[in-house]
This record gives sequence, structure tokens and C-alpha cells, in this order.
Amino acid sequence: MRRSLEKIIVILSYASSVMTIMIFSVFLWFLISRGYTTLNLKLLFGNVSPYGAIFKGIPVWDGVWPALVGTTFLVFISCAIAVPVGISAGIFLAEYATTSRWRSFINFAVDLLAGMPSIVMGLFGFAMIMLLRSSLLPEATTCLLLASICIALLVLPYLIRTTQAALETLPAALRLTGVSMGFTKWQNIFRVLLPYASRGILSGVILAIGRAAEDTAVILLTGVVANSGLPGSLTDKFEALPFSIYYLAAEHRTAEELNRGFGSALLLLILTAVLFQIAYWFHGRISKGSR
Amino acid sequence: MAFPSTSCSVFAQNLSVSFSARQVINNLSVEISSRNITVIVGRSGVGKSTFLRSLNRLNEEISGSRTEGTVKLSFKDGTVDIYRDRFPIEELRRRVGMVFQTPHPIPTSIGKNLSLPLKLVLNLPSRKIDDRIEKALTIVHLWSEVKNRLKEPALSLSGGQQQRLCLARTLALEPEILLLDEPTASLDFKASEKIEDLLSELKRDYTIISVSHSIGQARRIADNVLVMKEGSIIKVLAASQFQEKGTLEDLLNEVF
Amino acid sequence: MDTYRCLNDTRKGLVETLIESWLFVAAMISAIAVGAILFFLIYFAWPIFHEDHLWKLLSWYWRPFQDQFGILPMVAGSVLLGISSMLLAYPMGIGVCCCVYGLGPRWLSGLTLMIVRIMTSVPTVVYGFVSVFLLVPFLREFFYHGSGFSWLAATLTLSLLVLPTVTLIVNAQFELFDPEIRLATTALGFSPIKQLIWVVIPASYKGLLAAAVLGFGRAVGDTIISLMVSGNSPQFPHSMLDSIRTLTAHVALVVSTEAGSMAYNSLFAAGIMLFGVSALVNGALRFIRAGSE
Repeated sequence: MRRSLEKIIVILSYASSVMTIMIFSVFLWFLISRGYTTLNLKLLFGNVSPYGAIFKGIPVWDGVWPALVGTTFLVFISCAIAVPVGISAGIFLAEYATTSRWRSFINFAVDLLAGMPSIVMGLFGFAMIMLLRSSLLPEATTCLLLASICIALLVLPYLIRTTQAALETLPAALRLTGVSMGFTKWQNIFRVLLPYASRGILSGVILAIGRAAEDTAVILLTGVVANSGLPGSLTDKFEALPFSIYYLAAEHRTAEELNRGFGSALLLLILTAVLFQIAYWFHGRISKGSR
Repeated sequence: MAFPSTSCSVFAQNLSVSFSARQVINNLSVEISSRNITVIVGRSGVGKSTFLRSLNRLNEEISGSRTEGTVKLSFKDGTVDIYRDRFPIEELRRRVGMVFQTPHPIPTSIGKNLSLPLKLVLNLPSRKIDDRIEKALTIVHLWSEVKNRLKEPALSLSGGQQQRLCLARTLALEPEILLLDEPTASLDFKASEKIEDLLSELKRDYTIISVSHSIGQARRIADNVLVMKEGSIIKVLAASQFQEKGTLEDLLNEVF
Repeated sequence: MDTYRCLNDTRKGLVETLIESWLFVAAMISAIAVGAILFFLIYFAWPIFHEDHLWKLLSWYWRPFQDQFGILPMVAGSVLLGISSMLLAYPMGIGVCCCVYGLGPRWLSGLTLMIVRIMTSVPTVVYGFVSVFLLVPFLREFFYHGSGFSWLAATLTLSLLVLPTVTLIVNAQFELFDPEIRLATTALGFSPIKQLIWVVIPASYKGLLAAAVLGFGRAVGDTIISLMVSGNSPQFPHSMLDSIRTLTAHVALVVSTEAGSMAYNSLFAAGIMLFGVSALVNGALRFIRAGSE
């Protein structure tokens, strides 16, 4: 009886590994085989010349260029908000939150924020607009700025936790180096500890960029649309790469549009995979480096 | 309160340090004379490093620490009761320089490692900073090795060079007392020898207090040896008492 | 020593205080955000607690144009989908970890771990997209039943999403296991499988529990996969091949169709429930971790 139980477990564990590899291979193979032929400039710009689209602002209607630019804007703005706040909060938790009550209160909030489904973050943005409309700004609508704020909230916990961990894993003796020379607490953090922790913090920033680029649920509720062209201001609607993939899956009318969907999916996958691998690489380097 | 004797530069009385209720330094009293090398020996965990850190109030950076008792340090221009006088803590730490077991250069260039503390702690103008850097690096015999590569990253130096760089970084701040926490423990034989020679030169200008694991090293460089056990100093030996080979070992065997 | 008393202190003191205050404010932003989210959800869901509204909400029928706003099918959908995808992904994740810990050959475990790492970087929308064009048509042909957009399709796709979560947590826990004890038990003659069953897995039950809780949270919290492949019919499924609608997908669908104020109430009710699930998951994780100290 015991022997056969052992055998079953061994077989199941083999099977799960082999299945994982097989399923993921089929997934990748399918996406690549359908998508790779479309990975060219036409995917981005359609029938408009790249030069015209980039430098003259000729609108692109049959390419994912506007979506790519929209995603870039989204990532850039949300990280501009989240990175300073996240790193600062991480520093506070690692170095300043000495009274355990503050520490556990903020830790609790960060954990809650980290576990929040992204659609709830989107719903929060949507609710803010509903409130603004019924009070101060009757014309307020969902837009690029709103989506960026909500995405910033989504990636904030990653930044806080990686900064905190990077600082807390520094050797204890290092912590005393700057202070022993007469540095003040902040000088020691800024000049000695942060440079040592920079790799870990950078891995957090890259991870946050990857998360911001791939999330679909938040922007679905906060202003993404299928055909807006390039966003002209923070209060405009915008396109985004993950949303065009979602949209094309359901609403493609021609085979060409479907192919564009496959191309976009492959493009987004490559983008996030590269970002995440860079982040892991940085992370691996620190855990090796700090012994 | 005056110092018991004029040649004394560190005076501790009834000093106790604990970390979250664990007593590490236990009612320790000692006088340490100036312009000498005093080496503290004892098993690991008897509180040698904690004692060193109580002289520049560095224990306060470690959470859960509590210090009681008196520590007085005599500087060129007067005496400070460091736990009672309202003497600025940064200035205290500048005057009581410290070098650690493993060298921790700031991850920037070699030059910046020295210039940054001078700029931040002393607000020196850059003209003076360059002079001081050269002077400090010359003292630790590193100037000829690095004068052409001050812009290179400090972490590219060898372990021994890094330790001398850290020593130079501390010396550039012109301290009056030097605390060394096993400064050669992470170095190979050749590099340790260099540091030991260096310390013997430095004692002309500084009061040096060093923790050491090596009895041989204590014999080579010490003017006085303090033997620590269970958080207090149980024996004070002068150089004449341990110069002969073997006597220090015997004395220590007796004590432990 | 009076001359030294205030050396540089006032200037440095002000800068340091300002910086410290900013860091504190930055840290508080997370707490403020969580508070604001909860406030908005409750503020907009408030009308529900009006008695007849609440009854409308707690029904099995969602027909917004016939004044029926039941949310129960979506609750059932979320719970069923969360459970079913965990039933698949959880044993598989543990299986992978066992294989990596020593049951499988080194090349296989190395390859699997690498692939699981890469899987964490796949955007959910890409999983959904491939599923729509690969898995859904396959299910439609294979079972010859309905459109293929179904509970089953969502389960299979979603389990791919939570598999890395489970695997990486359990694997980290296994790696924590002291190699010395491992060596000692090997010396006693324990084969790798015996070690796993009798020593490592019992010692790692906290990690196993945490992985289950976190994986379930992740599965319930996901929007895009269920929105894209589950079919979105607001009904209680009678088989795995039936279409279902989850709370998350419900939120996305109601926002995009703008069906009137009572529908919006149900939107925020769904939001509160999802908030509640994530808070529960969080509490459970804290409880599990607290037991270890």
C-alpha cells in the first residue's frame, strides 16, 4: 500500500513537470507560429510610413502604433507617480518605522493593496470620476491621467517591497559605516545604503514597468478605447496594447485584423518577458552578491 | 570632574550595555591612555565590539540597545562626557573614527569615498578636500597605488587596499581616537602585516583601540592589552608583561 | 564644550526633518489609498442596504431590463472557477516542486523551473487571447457542445496563470528546508520520495497553506481570462461546459454597458465582495505566518 502510494506520487510529480512544459510549449508554439509573420513594421504602422507616423503625426488606423505609444505613456506617467512614492515608502519602512505600531499598520495596508484585484483598482478610478461628475466637474471622464493614477496604485506595492527588502538585506555592519564617520541618518541612507541597494530597487522598478504595461483590467474601466489615435493630453482617451489584444480577440472583422491581434499578443509577450527576465537577473545578482 | 591622569584619553565607569534585555557589557570600568595602541582580546561574544561602539555611541544605531554609566573622552580642546554633555553626535563620531572588520567602501569612485565625508561632515571647500585626500592616502601608503585612478570604482580595489582606503577615509576626517574592530580579520597575511605596520606608525598621533582575535598580533602591536570576559575587563596588561613569546598565551590560558 | 553644542545642527536638523516627513507621507499613501478605495466602494454601494434593493441583489436572476439585478450567479461563478482552477493547478504545482526537490532528473527540474519563471511574465490578456483561438475551438469540436466558451475553458486557462504562483511559493518553502537535515535523513537511508512524504512536506505545511490561499486569491481576482473565455452568461452552471460569469467580469461588463443606477449598485456590491475576498486572503496569510513565530 505504502509502496504504491509512493509510486503514484512519483508518477504524478513527473507528469506535472512534463505537462507544464508541454502545455506551455504548445501555447508558445501556437502564438509564435501564428504571430511571427506579422512581426514587422506593418504591424505597427499599417499603410502609413513609419517616418510619417512618428515625425509628422499622420494618424495610423490599421496598426498598433497608437496602442504602443498609449502603453508607453501609461507606463511612463504611472511610474513617474509610483516610483518616487514607492521607493520613499520602502525607505521609511526599512529605516525609519521603528515603532512597531506604525510599521505593522503600514505593512498591513501595503499587503492589502498588493492583494487587491486589479479590477477593484479600476473600479476605484471609475468611482472617482462618478463622484467628480456629480459634484465639481460635470464634464470629467475617464482618461489617461486617471488610468495612470490607478496603475500607479497597482504597482506601488511591488516598489515598496523590493526597496524595503533590498535595504533590509544589507549587512548590518554596512549600516554603521557612514554613521561612524559622522554622517547623519539620512546622509548614511542616501550616500551609502541606497547605492548598495540600487540593484534590488532597480529590479523592482523594472517589475513595476512590466506590470504596468500588461495590466488590462484597470484601464478597461478608466478610459482605454479601441480607436482614439495618439493621446494629445492627459485628459484624453487613449489606446493600449493589452486592450487592443483583448478587443481584437472579440471584435476582429477581417483575417488581417485577427493577424494583427496575434502580432500584438506576441509583441506584448516579448516586451514583458524581456522586462521580467532583466528584473530577475538583477535580483539574482544581488542575492549572489550580498552573500 | 577631572580625569584621573592627564595621559588618559578614554575613561569609562560602570558602563553597562544591553540589547533587548540581554546584558552585553556589564559594569565595566577602565582607563585607556592616549597615543598608545590598546588591544582588546577575549572570546567572541564577550562584548568587545559593543564596548568599542559604546565609545562613539554607535550602539544607538542598533535597535533595542540601552546604555548606562559614564564614558568620558579627552580631546585636544577639552573633555566630553559623551552620554551626558549635549555634544553633537555627528561631531563625536567624526572625532572618534572607526574601521570595521570587513571594508565597506561606498559604491562610488575611490576619490569620492574620501571626498564625500569631508564635504558632508566637515563642509570643506574642494581645494582643501584634495589636500586632505592626498595626505590621508599617503599615510596609509595607498597614494602611489591609486593617485592615477581616483575616478575608478572603489570596489575594484583588492581587499587589503579597500581596508586601507577605509582607514584613510576615517583619517581624512582627522579624528583623535581610532577604534578598530578586528581590522585585519578579513585580510590575508601580507595585507594584515601592512596594516599592523601602519598602526604602529599611527600611534604617534592617535589613541588607537583595537579588537583582535590574534594573540600574535596583540603582542606585535599592543602597548596595553585588555582582557575581556562576560562583558567586563578582567585584566589589564602592559607591554612589558607579555613581550616574551608564550607569556601572553599563558596569561590568557589562566584567565579563560 | 559649549562651542560645539549646535554645530551644524539646526540646518541639518531641518532638512532631515523635512525628508523624514516626506518619507512618512509616502508610506502613508498606501494606507490612504486602501482607505479611499474602501470608502468609495461603500459610498456607492450604500443604496443597496435599502431593504428591497438588497433582496433584488440577492437573487439568481440578472435581467437588468426586467428590473432583476441578482448577483448570486456571479458569486457562484467566481467561487466555482476559483476552486476548480485551484483543484487543477495546486496538485500540479506541488508535483512540479516534488520533481524539482529530487524526484525528477536534474535537467527536467531545471527546465521546469525555468519555464515556470518565464510563465510569471506572460500577460493575462495573452493567455486569454491564445485560449480564445486554441482552447475554445478545441473544446467546441471535442465535446460537440455549445460555443466552447465555458467554465472548463476558463478553468484550464486560469490554472496556467496560478500554477507559477503555487509553484514558486512551495518551492521557496522547500528550499528553506535545512540541507543538513536533508543529508542526515539521506544517511538514514531515506529515498528522496520518503524524505518528501515523511519529512519535507510535513515540515512545509505553512508554505503549502500559503500557496493555496494566495493561489485562490489570484484566481478569484483575475478579470481578463474569465472575461475572455468563460462565456459570461449570468447563470448557475450545470456542467463544466456551461458558460459562467465571475464577479470580476461582471464589473467589467456592467461598466461597459451602462445599464442604469441599480446596475451600478450591483457593480459596487461586486467590488466590495472582491475587496472582502482579498482582505480575507490577507488575513489568512497573516494567520498562517503568525503561527510560525
